[in-house]
Amino acid sequence: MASVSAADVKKVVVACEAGMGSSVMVAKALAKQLKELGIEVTHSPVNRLAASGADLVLCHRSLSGRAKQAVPDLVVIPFDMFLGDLAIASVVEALLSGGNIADS
Amino acid sequence: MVSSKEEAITRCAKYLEDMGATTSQYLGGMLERESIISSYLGKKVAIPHGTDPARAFVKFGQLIFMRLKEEILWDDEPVALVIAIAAKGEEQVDVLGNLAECILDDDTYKILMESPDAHEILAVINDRKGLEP
Repeated sequence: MASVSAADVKKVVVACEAGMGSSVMVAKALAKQLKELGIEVTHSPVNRLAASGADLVLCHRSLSGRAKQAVPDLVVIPFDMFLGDLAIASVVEALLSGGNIADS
Repeated sequence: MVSSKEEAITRCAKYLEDMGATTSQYLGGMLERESIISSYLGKKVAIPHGTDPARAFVKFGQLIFMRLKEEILWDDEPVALVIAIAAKGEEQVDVLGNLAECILDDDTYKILMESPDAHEILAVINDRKGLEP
């Protein structure tokens, strides 16, 4: 388990298998929501996560094991739906309101 | 008629290959990616594409927009719009960002799903009509 304080999150990375489609779309939607906080949102293939400079990682549940392996010290939040997922909405909420964000 | 996810992906891969955007091996990458995670996006849209190593089979970036006459099941989810992606690098990022917004916005979503006018659809995808704040 890892945790991070919302105030320390400057870069969120959305990871997917290829970093070509799904993660791009999630990242773009998220970037808009987090723009006012000055948080950068990018996308990455899961196997290049270590070099991504992320403070917080979001990825599809089926890849969260691989993501955690790639960046064991970072908070990795899994989601199930690419659009409109509640886990993503609650991360946005936590970043907006401050406090700690942890994975399990 | 396209009646299954495999058929839809095979058709898209064929279009990509015929256009010269990919080699025939890209299809294998698209199917492999589906076996790792479904490319079902939500709101009846799927975005099939290859794996990271399958970028090697892409000659230039290209999207295929394929709207189905009848919905098919995509890993138990109904799908009416298939947007296949081939990318070498990051050239698809802006247009996919626009598409994500177009799909989330109800007005542009309706155009994507229902408009009979290809030019109108393209204008929405390229311009994000009416979505800028």
